[in-house]
Amino acid sequence: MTTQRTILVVEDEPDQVAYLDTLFKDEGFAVITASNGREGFEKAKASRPDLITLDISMPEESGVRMFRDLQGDPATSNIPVLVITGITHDFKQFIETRKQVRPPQGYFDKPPDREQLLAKINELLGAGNHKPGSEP
Amino acid sequence: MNGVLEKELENRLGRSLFELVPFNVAVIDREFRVVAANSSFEEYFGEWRGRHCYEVCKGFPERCSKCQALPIFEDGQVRVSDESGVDRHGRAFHYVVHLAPVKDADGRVQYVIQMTTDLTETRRWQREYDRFFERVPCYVSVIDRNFRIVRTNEKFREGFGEAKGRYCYEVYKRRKSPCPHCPAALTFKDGADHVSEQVGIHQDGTPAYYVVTTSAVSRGRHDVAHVIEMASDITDIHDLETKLKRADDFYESLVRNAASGILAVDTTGAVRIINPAARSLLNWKSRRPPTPELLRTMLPDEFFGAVQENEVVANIPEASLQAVGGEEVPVRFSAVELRSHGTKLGRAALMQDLREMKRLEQQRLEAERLAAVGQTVAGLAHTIKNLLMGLEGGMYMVDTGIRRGDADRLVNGWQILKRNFEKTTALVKDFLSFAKGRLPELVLTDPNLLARNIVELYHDAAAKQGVDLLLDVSPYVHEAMLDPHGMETCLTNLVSNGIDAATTPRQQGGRVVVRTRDEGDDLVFEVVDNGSGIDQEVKSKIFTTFFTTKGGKGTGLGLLTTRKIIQEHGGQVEMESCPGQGSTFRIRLPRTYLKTLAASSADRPAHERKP
Repeated sequence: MTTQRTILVVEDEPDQVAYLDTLFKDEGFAVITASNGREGFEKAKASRPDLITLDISMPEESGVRMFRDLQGDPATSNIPVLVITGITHDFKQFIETRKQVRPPQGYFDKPPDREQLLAKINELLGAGNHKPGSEP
Repeated sequence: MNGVLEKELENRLGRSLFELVPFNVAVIDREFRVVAANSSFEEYFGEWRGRHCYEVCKGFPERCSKCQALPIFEDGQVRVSDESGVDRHGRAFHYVVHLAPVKDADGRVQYVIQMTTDLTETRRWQREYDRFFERVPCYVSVIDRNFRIVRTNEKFREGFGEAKGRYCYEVYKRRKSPCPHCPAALTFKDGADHVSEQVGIHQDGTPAYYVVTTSAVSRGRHDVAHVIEMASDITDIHDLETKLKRADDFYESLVRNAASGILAVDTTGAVRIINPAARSLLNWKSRRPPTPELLRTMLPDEFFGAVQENEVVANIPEASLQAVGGEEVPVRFSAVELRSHGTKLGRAALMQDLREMKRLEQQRLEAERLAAVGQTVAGLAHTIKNLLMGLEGGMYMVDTGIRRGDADRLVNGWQILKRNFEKTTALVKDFLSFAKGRLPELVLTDPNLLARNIVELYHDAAAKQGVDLLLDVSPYVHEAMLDPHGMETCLTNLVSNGIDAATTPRQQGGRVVVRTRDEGDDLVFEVVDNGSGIDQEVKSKIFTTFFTTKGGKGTGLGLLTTRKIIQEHGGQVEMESCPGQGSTFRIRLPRTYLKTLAASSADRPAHERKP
């Protein structure tokens, strides 16, 4: 790989942040972290990460709100988002019934299967041909 | 006997008779002069001596044009006629006059003897009778043995038309043959009066209701020749009766079919009305209503108490009836005094069955409890998933730390494992205490004191986080039956949530207020913060999952536990929130329900009351 890809981990629970941070760095990604939706959205706009992992239930501003904000901003709307949450089912239903919002690229129930998670990330980033506006 | 004596006796007898006969007697000669008269005649007609009969009897100056005496002088025949004349006072009167000849030895009529009987009274009676017959407000008809009408009165003719010569059954009822149970037939048979109620048809076709009395016109040993039928029209009364009956049926049917129990007693306390709903509530199967003594044991005492001028005897939202068989039936009970123009008629009780409502309420609570269990399980799964991910992360770091000989990572991973293990332990503890079925232990508690204690307890901790914890209680709030420990837990949860919420935002002066007040039947606690408020999606989950927005700090059980405790008190927790403006959590406890709850928990044996 010529350029190091960056993943933004948005998660409020510090132990889980530490886990994903370590895991993704071990896989050769650069990692930036945010502990709530607001901070996550700011960092996404500022750093333009290649992928975002997002928890749904967080204080201050929830993952749902942040997801909408990302979709609503042209600067961030094309960044692939993987939702990693304990309430996957409810959230999946909720977001997929919203026609105006593009669904996230993947859902992972906590705790995610490590191999599948990395495989999905590599599928989204590995080819490096992610073009703006293209559907996965 | 010698002839002179005989003649003498005859003369005296004749004179006596002349004076004693109950007639006015006068003797008139061929010149129409009154030659002799008895004192009765003189009393009536006055002085007669030397006067003509037409002068004395009629006050005429000359002989009457239709003189009845004149032909008698010619033919010697007896004549009777009705006359009217004037008495000695000049008053007109009626009399029947018998005129008879008095002949001499040759058979010539020398005198006419005139015997008059006063008919004035009889005539008056006749007139009165006729008037009475015609004008009496009854249908009067006289019928012969063949039921043919021989005479009718005015009222009869108004109602049934001209009927003389027609059969009575034809006229009265438009029948072709005599009626069965004919009272006139009975009168013809036994000569006695008979009364019966009949329905006929007026000449205009409307029904005629009447009471008829049949009475024999001539009585005696021989058969009755005529019967007089006197019928009083009772059509109006009958119509009124029909209307009254309808009105009565209307109300009776209302009472009978009312869903509420209706029971009424008269002033002696005897049960006059007990409708099917009331019977069912009291489980009263007997046809006879309960006795006043028994009723006393069934209805609330208030029903039998004294009342003021006001007609309302009782109005109890939740009373209980003592039904036959021992069941206590919950009802809404109201009672009123029944009066008519100020006179007491008795009392009525209205009883609305609350069993179904109670059952539905029980079902609702049960459903909510089940829903809470479902939500609890879902919430629990969410929390466990987060713990698992923590453990997963810790294991990954320990694994890779060992494999890479990276001591820092190893230690870091181990600490993650320890933290998540501790959190798991805490969760299990919290969950067990939440899951433990526990009935509230109700004690008379001052809600304001409860609120004050919580504020004092958390005031300093709040101040350290820059939050002002304030108390705002209503002085009108009085004591209530509450579980003080349960309520402390609820208020602690809400207050600590509030403090957290007020701490988070942009460093402005955080504030949490604990309030109490009464709102209708509800005792209300409010915890208001000026924190960041709650998102719509969080709002929808706040009570329904093990939801936490506090990352590692919360177990997500606080609000759920609060709701559970409040539900056990029969109340509810409400939430209002505007993002950016803070949130209000409100506990509502219905005082009526608390009383019932306290009463029913007091009934339970002590060992069942223990959690």
